[in-house]
Amino acid sequence: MLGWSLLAPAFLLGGLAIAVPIVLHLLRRERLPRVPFSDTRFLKQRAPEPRRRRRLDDLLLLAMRVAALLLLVLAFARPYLADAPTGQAITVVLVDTSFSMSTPAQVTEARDLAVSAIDDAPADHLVAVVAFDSEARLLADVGSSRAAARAAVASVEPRPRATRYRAGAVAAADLAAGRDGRLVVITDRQATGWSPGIPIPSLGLSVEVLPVAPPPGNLAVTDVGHEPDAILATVVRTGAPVESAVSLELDGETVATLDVTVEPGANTVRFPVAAEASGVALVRATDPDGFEADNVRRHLLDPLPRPRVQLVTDQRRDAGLLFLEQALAPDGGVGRFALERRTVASLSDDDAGLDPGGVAILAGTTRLTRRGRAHLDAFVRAGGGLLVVGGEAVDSALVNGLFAGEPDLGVGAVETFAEPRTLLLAERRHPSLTALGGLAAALDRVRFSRARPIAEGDVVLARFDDGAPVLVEHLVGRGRVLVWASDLAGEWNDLPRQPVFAPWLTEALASLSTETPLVRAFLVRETPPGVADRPGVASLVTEGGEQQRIVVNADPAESDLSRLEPGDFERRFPAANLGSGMPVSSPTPDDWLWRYLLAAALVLLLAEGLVASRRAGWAEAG
Amino acid sequence: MLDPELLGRLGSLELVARTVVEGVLVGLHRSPFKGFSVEFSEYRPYLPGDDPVGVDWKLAARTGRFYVKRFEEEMNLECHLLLDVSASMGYGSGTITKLRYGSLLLAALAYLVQRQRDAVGLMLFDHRVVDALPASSRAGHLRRLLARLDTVTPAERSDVRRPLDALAARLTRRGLVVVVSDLLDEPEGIIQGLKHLRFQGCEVLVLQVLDPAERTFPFEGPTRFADLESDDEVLAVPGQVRAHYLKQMEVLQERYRRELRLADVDYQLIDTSTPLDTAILAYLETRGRRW
Repeated sequence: MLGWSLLAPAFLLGGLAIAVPIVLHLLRRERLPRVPFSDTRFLKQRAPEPRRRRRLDDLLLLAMRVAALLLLVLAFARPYLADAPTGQAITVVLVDTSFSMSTPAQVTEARDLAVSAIDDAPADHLVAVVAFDSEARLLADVGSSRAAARAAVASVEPRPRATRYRAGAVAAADLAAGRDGRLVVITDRQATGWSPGIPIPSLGLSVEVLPVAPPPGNLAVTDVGHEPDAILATVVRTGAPVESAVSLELDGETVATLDVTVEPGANTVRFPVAAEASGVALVRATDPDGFEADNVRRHLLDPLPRPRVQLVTDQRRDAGLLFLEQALAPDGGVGRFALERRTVASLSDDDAGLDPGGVAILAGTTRLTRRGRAHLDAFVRAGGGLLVVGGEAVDSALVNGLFAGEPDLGVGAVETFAEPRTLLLAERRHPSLTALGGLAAALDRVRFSRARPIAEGDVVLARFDDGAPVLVEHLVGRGRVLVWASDLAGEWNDLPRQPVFAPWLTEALASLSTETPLVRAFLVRETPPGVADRPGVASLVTEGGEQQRIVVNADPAESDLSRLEPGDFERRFPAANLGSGMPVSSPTPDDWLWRYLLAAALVLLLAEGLVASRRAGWAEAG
Repeated sequence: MLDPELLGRLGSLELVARTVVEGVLVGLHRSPFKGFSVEFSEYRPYLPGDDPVGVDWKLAARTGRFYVKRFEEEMNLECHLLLDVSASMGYGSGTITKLRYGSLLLAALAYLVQRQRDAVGLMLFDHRVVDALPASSRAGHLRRLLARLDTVTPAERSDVRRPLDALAARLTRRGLVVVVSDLLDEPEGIIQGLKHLRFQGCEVLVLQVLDPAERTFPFEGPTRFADLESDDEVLAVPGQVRAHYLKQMEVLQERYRRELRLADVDYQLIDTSTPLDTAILAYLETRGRRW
C-alpha cells in the first residue's frame, strides 16, 4: 500500500507565505478611493466590468496566487510515494559492532542487551537483528523466530571499522518498510559516529537506546612517520597514564621495543633507527584496557614516485643550466623531481616526442624543427606543464609559434637595462606563490639586467617595476605554460644566487604538474576498490599499470572515547520526534512528483499573469 | 461678483438674499436693464384703446384727467419656488452643495419677489412633496420661507414628475413656477411634468443646478463612485469614462434645452461656481421677456 510522505517537510513552513498575497489583496482593495457621486448612470455604461465580475476576478487571482504558492511549497517539500504503515509491528535490534565496542566486556554486554531486547519485544512484534559499524549487516531478517534471532546475536563480533549510525538507520528503515514499532540501538553512543550534514532518515519507529559502557581508558597509535635517522610514532592516551611497550617492526621483524609511560593526550615515541629505503614499518603498543584494533599502525617506507621534469636544452650538458639542475637535483642526488634531459635535436628528430604527463622546461630552441614544436604543442595540450625560459638560447620566433590557434607568447628581442630592475608580485594567490608563503617576498630582491618582453598571457604572476610582465601563465588545452622573461643561468639576473631560487623553481614546476598525487595510506572505511577493507598491507594497480604497495589502518577517530548524552543521541533520530505511524522516508527513485508540482505552479502563475493583465488593463489605461 | 461659497458662509439666509438682490438691483440702474424693474408702478395718460378697467377713477376725480395704472397685472403675480431636495442635490465637490446653492438662489428670488410685493410660495420635493408653503405676499411669510430654506437637507431619491403634477393639480391661478433641480432623473418624466405646469397656464423657469465636477468630471485614477441615491458603487477609471460621461451629460442638457424650448419653458443651466447675481439676472431676463 502506498502513501504520501515528504522528503523535506520543513519547507511546509513556507506555506505561511500565502498570507502575503492575501494581505496584498486586502490592502490593494482598500487603496481605491471611494467618492460619493450624484449620479452614476453614465459611469456604469462605460465601467470596464460589473463590480461583481471584478470581485470574482479578484478572488480568482487570489486563489491562483495562493494555489501557486502552495504548489511551490509542496514541490520544495519533495513529496513522494512511500510504503504506508501497514502490517505487523516490528522491533529492530541494531547492534553496534565498530571497534569502539570491541573490548571483551563490551562484546558480552552488547550480546546480552540484544538478547534482552529480543525477549522484551511485544509478543505481536516481528523481530529483526542488524549489526552495523561503517556498514550494516543483517543478522536476523524480518520474520525470523525469536530463537533464531537470539542465536544470531551470538554471531555478533566487533570489526576494526568506524561507527556510522546512518548505515544502521537506513538498514532499519528498510526492514521496517513502513511498519509501526521500535528501534532498539545497542551502542556505546560514540560521538564521532554522526556524519555532520548527512541527515538520518525518518524511521517511523520509536527509538530506544541501550547504552554499552566504554572502557575506562584507551591507548591508540594514531600516526607513524619517518625521518632519515628515525621512525616516529604518535601514541594517544585517553584516561589515566599507563605503561606501554611500544615496538617497531620493519617488514615483519621487530627491530626495537621501548617501554614508555604514556601520558593522557598525544605522545611522540621516537625509534632511533635509520629508515630503510623501502618496506613497511609497523608500530605496536600494548594497551591494558582499551581497544585492540587501534594498537597497531602501519607506515610505508617506499619512496614516493617523483614527478618527472624533462629539461629540453640545446646540448646534453649546458653549463648555463648549472643553477637550474642543482635546484632540481642537488649534487646529482635525489630531489623532489626526477630530472631527465632532452636535447632539442633529439626532440626534433624523434617521433615519440616528450613523455606525456609531468613537466618540461624549454631552455633552448636551436635546431627546434616543426616536428619538435608539434611535440611540445601535443605535450602541453595533453595536460603537461611547460616552463619557457627566455634566455639567450631561445629563439623568440620559434617560441611564439609553438601553440597554433592560441594567443602568441609574445617573446621579443633581448633588452638590456641601463639600471637594474626589480620585480613585483602581481598575483600572490597563484599556487606557486602561495606555496612559498612568506618566502615569496624574497623575490622582490632579485635584480635584472637583461630580459625579453613577453605577452600578458592569462595570468601575470610578476611584473618589472615599470609594469612589464616578467612571469606569466598561459592556459593551453589541458596544460599550462609559464613564461619567464629572463634567463635562469644567473647572467641576466641574480635569482639563481638567491636562497628563494630553489623553492620558487620547485613550486613553479609543481604548479605546472597536473598529475594526481599518489595516495598510499588508507583508513579502513576508505579503501579503494579491489582492496580488502581491513587493516594491513595491500597492493594496488596504478593508472600506469604498476603495482603499488599501500597500507590500510584503522580509523583513529574511532579511538575517541567521547560519548553523546542519551537525550542528545535520541534527538538525532528523527523518528523519536515523529513517533510511530510515520511512513519510511527513505527517498526512492520515484521522487519525481515535485517536478509536476513545479510545472503546475508555473502554469498557474502564467494563467495568473494573463488574468491579472486583463484585470489590470483598465487600471493601466487610467 | 457674489461668490456663492462666500455667501453660503454668511449664515443668515435673509441677509444673503438681501445682499444678492440689492446688489443686482443697484447694478441694474447702471446697466442696459435700467427701467426693466417690474416693481415700479406708474401712471400714464389714458390712450384710446386702453381697457377702461385700468383707469384710476379716484385720480381722475381728483385731477380731472384719466390715467391708467401700469403693471397692475404684475402686482398680483404668484410665484412658486420649487426646490429639489433629493439626495443627489447633496453633492458638492467644493464647500457648497447643489442644495445649498439652490437654497441661496431661491432665497434671493423669494426676497426679490417679495420686494415686488408679489406672492411667493415654496415647495420642497424629492420623489414626493417634502414640504410646501403656500404663496403669500405677507411680510412674515418671507421670513418663514427663508427659515425653511435655511434648514433643508438632502432627502431621498428624486422623481421630479410626481411633485410637478401635484403642484399643477393644486394651482388655482396662473403664476410663475421656478424649478431648481439638478434634473438628474429620467428626462421624459421631468419634461412631461413641466409641460403639465405650462399647460395650466403657468410661466415656468427651470434652473438646472450642477456642480462643476459634474460638468467636467475632473477625477483621476481608479475610483469607486458611490451613487448618492442608491447603493450602487461603480469602480471606474475616469480617464476611460470621462469622454462618455461628458457626452451623455451634453446630450441630456441638449434634450432639456430643445424640448423645453418647444414646450415654451425657460431653461437655464447654472453650476454652483456661478455667482448668484448671474443666476438672478437669468431670472429677471426671463421675467423681462414675458412681462
